[in-house]
Amino acid sequence: MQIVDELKKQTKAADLALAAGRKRQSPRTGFVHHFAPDETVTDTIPIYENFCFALALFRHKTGDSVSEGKELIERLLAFQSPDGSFPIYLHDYPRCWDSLMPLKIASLLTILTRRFSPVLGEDLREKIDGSLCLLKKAAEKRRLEKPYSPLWENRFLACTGQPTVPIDTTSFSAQEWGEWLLTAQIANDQGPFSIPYHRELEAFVGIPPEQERGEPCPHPIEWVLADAILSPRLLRDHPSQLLCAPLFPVENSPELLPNPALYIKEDTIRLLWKGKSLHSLFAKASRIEKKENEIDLFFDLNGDMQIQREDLFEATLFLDHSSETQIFIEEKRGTLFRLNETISVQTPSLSFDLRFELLEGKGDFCGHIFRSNRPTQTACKGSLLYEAYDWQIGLRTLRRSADCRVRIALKITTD
Amino acid sequence: MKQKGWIALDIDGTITLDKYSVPQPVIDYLGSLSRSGWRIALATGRPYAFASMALSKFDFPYIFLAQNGSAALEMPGAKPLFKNYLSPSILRTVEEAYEGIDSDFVIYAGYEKGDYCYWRPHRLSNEDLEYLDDLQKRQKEIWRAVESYETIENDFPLIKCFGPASRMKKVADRLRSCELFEVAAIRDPFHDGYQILLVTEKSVSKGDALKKVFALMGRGERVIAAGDDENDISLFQVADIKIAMSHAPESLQEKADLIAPPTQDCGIIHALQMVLNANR
Repeated sequence: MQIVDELKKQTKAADLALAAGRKRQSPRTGFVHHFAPDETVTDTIPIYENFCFALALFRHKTGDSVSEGKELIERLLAFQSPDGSFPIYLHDYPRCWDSLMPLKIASLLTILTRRFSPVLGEDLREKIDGSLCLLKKAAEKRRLEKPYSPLWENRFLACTGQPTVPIDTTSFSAQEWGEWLLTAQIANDQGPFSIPYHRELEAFVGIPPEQERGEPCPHPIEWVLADAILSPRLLRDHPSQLLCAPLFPVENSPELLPNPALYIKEDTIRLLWKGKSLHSLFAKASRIEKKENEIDLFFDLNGDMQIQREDLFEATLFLDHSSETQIFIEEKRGTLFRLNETISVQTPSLSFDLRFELLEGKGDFCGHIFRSNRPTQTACKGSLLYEAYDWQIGLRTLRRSADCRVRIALKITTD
Repeated sequence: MKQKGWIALDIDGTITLDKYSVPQPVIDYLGSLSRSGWRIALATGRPYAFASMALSKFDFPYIFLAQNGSAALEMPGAKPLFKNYLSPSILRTVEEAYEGIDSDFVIYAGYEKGDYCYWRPHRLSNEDLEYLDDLQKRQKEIWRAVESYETIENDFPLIKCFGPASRMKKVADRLRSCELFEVAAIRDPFHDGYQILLVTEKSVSKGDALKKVFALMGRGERVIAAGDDENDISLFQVADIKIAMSHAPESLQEKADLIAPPTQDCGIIHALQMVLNANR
């Protein structure tokens, strides 16, 4: 019990933010060096992430970390462009490509002045106040040129001390939830919120986020909502942990979600379940129907088939590749299957069967199980370009009539 | 000289780790702050007699808030400012809170009576007796064994309950439920797993006592508070700038603006220097 409590203490989102910053901090420049699209690039200095790092230093609250945070803020403020905004990367100065940057930085500085005013010192406080004034003007100018989306309009209202307006959060992605939480905190809205977060899986179970290698890409709200960050997925170092720095714990209305967590919306299905890693099954179909014991994925194969590489597999789904996953075709190992054969996927915590059926039309199809990547995979860059993190289980079209309908029947056999 | 405000500090674990003295650099630094226009308040769960041993070298003016704020004294000189004591009539309620619990509580008589402590040895187990023997030696208090608390006629500042954390939780829950007392739980740094409950008048806390001091002497521009345990949360509630020690519980550190370096390194000096420089 004591060990768990100790672990809880060590793995707060703010501590992870500080650790992620320290890991990317250059001993030469003192700045965090990071390039979001490619972690191997270390010469760029992102301004927003550096402000986040400074906030993480302040949140650590020790004399040394606060002094370092103050120095970093002073250095970053020097890169405010004459129009009030900040560049995405320090070397871009004075060009500011991100039109939302004034609101993003204003949010961090607002939190800084509200929460850490007693240790800022008068000089720095004055500089921050001056910077905030310019940022708000730049944000107002951008707003007049082009209205903000409701999410960012609310951020603008919160940063300028105006009441926020109601917003529909039902189809927020994990990233949008993170931004909304920050807005709510600035507007002193304590919640509770209704974030689709699965406590046992320590995962966002709303709109499926991108896949990063074998697991869903972690997002700041997952670190913030975790009671104790214990899953290997969230404990692993990640640059997005830096973005937790401005997020403080919030109350999320507790909802007990089943394991596995099923997400179905229109044409998308994702099943998430716990194992050594966070397993997932993902597919996009024409229509998905959930019955009592089965989920049907319908694929309408309309028009003539196009012989292009990406069109060969017209009914397909993706499953993360893991050492604890076993796949059988009619109870035997294999990689080729036919229509109406049962494909069993077995993991220690969940097993399910899949059956591909031709409901309408005529054609010849061949089923394949092979290593691949789902379309939302983000890791395949640089040295990882040819890595495959998923099993693709799909039906390859050999020939077919113009109007075919294929069904994949998914039946969970154990849980 | 213009009054700059107040620096309100907990004693044990904040300015010293030694029960009987405060490091000279801390005394010198607080003295220099006092001379530069800051008013100093020292707040503790300890009785006056015990705390005054540690504070014997303080030669500058300060306010002493004894027993979690049950009494305030203007120092040096020990001039009483105010006190807020419990009436003997509440003892029945405390006895009820101990129903089914094989242990007992002790009562402090107050600084006016030399801070002696009433206790009932016959109600205590051998384990509790050993613990109290150790506590008594550590705190160098005068203890008076009595058969019954019914003989206590005068108001008194504090009841102290002690024991393993699970037992103390039960007692604290019962005492809090009757809404007659302020119950502050602190861990005993010398006895692993042991907790001490400081039971005082409902409105008594370090923070409330400090507010009363402000009403009498003025608040000044800024209030800086520092502490290391749950009973310092009330101090934080009346302060503008809050410093928690590095060993303070999470609940206190969360509320703090700054976490001071360890007490053994005179961390309070560094922390105060930092916030004072920032707010010059």
